[in-house]
Amino acid sequence: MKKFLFTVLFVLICVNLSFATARKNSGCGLGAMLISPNNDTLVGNLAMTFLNGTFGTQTFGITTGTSECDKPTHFVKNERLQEFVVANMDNLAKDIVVGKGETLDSFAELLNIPVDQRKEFYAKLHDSFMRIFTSENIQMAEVIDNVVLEMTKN
Amino acid sequence: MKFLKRVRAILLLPCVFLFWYEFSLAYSDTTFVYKYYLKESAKRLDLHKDRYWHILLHYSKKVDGYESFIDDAKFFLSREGKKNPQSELLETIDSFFEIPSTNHNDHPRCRFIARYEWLKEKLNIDESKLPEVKCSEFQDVFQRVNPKSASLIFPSFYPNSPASMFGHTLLRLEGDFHSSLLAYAVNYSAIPEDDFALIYTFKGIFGYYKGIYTAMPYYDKVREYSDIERRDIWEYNLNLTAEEVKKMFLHLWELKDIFQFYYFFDENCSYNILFLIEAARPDVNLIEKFKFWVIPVDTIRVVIEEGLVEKIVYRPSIYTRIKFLSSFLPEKKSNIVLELVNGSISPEEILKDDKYLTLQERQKILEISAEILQYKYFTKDISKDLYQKRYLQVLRARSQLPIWEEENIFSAPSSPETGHESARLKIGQGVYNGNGYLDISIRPAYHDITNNDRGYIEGSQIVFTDLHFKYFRDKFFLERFDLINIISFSPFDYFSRSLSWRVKTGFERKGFYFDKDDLYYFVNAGCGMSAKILSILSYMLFNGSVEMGGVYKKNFSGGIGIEGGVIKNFRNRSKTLITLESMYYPLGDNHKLYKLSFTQNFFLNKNLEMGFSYTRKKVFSHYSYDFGVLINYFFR
Repeated sequence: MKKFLFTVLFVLICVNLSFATARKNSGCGLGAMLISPNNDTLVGNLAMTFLNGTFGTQTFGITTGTSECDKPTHFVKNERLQEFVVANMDNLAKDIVVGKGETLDSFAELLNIPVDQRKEFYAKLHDSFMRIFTSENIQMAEVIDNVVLEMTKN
Repeated sequence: MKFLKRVRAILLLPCVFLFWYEFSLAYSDTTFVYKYYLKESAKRLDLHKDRYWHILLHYSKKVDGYESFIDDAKFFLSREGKKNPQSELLETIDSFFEIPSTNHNDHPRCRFIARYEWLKEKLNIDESKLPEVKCSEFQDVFQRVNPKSASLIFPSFYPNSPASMFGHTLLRLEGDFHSSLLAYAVNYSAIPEDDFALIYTFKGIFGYYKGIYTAMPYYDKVREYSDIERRDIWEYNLNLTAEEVKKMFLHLWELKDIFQFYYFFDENCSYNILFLIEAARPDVNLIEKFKFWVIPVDTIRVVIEEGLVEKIVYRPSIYTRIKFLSSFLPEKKSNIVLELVNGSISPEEILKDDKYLTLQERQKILEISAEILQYKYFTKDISKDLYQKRYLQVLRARSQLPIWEEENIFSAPSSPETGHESARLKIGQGVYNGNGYLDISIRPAYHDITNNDRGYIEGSQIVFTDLHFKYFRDKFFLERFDLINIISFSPFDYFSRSLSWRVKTGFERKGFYFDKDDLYYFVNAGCGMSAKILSILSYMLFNGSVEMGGVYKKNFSGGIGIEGGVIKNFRNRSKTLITLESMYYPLGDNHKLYKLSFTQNFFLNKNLEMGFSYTRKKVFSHYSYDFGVLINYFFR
């Protein structure tokens, strides 16, 4: 019997039966993006095969909402911009320091920066990164306001 | 027929006048006449037989008529709607005349807006003769999404999860924004209810879960697949016109909050996405191309064959990005990245170090570190607090170095649809301990470790229901039946240490073909590691196995063992595989197994492979050898 249990245990080594915590957005700052369910296990992997699953049961999440976050003083009406910054803040920060990227392009588009002025805009954001992302606890509203502040400076 | 219908209409006319009086107080008389007129026109035009009506209601032809795939009663206005296209059509026309409640959005003309728009066009409906209805909810969402074009999205397979090899497809609706991140994703998926994985699997296969269509910003989906699950994404831009995309959206709106039972093998994500494409362009036939099962990548092939794809775009995952950026860094300097990530050196030290590191190297080290920090945060290797702190530190340091002007050009691997087809027929001939045999095996899905990796992921295998027959001179029998046989060898990288593993279950024989050698049931799982050195993938696994059947005196045997092997892929032209395995079974029937095998496979074209294999084996005290040549033919 001992031997049997040993074998069963062995087979289960890679198999972690605790499974799937739902994904959720948490917060309005860095690292607030969706977090995956814990499916890096064997059985988790198998189960994912059979689901192609979406976790979270929101059906038409056309707007993701930013109700839990502070509102910026600028672009108050631009819900889409705010949602985008909340959901993509980490990649936006990375694109700003690198000076290019799809997230940065989207951000510029939402701010209505004409294409021919983007290069200049990106350079400016890059140079003022420290003044935009002032702390690791920064939130969406401050990011937007700081960007506006930097852009209006000469 | 038409004449009879007209006569009937004339005969019915007196009734109409009679009702005129009846309804004149409660409801306008002209309404009644108009409703009657529309229904008669619909009958005359046989609209219930129209292909578009069948697309909108998801009808499929059965032996005795039609049946809709949709299981939700809310979707049908007629009680017989699921099986009766005509009664559904007539009830739908009726419903257009309903006096709206205070919430117009629940009115059938808003709820089933694609049906309404289509019938309005077909029957020339004069809207002024219908009660006034304002679909404000629809208008809001439509304006926000503003769909102008669409793409079919295929998140590819991710390392260490052959489960994802089966793939997934979704749609993307693009508006006026240039950046595709600002588009919307439309997804069909199951709503899981339990959190026990095995129940998931069971319920997913047998249709116990409800599937629904969902929509969300595309950037959320990109993060889910590209960043969190490390899957490259393939985007197939469709050549649908704005008008066609609008029709798709109208139909999508009808499907909002409507469920249908989810069946993993056929009524799955990819299948249901096809209905939306047909609603956009009814001239194409997609649904009927699939009979028994629907493999996501096959739906892409069909969509391409129907001439719907304009352009293919590759979106690298976080994993691919890290590998790409790392290629700018000499290998011996990659440990600096790790030290930076785990905090043993600070980003400022990198900035100052202009003697050992070039400017480009400093830029890349900081950029890679930022990606790896994200990667580690997604895999929960580091806490949120630590992540926020280090991530920002690294980015701040990077912001003090200039912008890197050159574009990152990723060389895209072969796209998934260029891989071999999903089903396979294998025919072989060989010698087993001096006895000649013929081999035949049929497998609906999907890819095994000896097959061509083009379009698939190297070191992975996903096999479902592989039936394997053998024919010796005097006997023909089922040699083995693999229900599931999945392998994932994901080699160690300097930045990640993922597990390699295998799991398989099914029926097999010990291989004493001329003695008592009944089929037994087995479950076998193993885990270990793999590495890719000099383009050879080597692996090592610790295995555990439980086998049950009458072939064993005690009806079962259980054991553990070790296995190692090497795989070499010669530029997708041929592949060599050598494995060595030993198993010790202390439980039930005590025995041992030793096995050496060598396989060589040549890839003649996309769907044709030819090879040979040699196996030497010792089980109990029984020695055997097996040499065979084989042909693999892939088809759909």
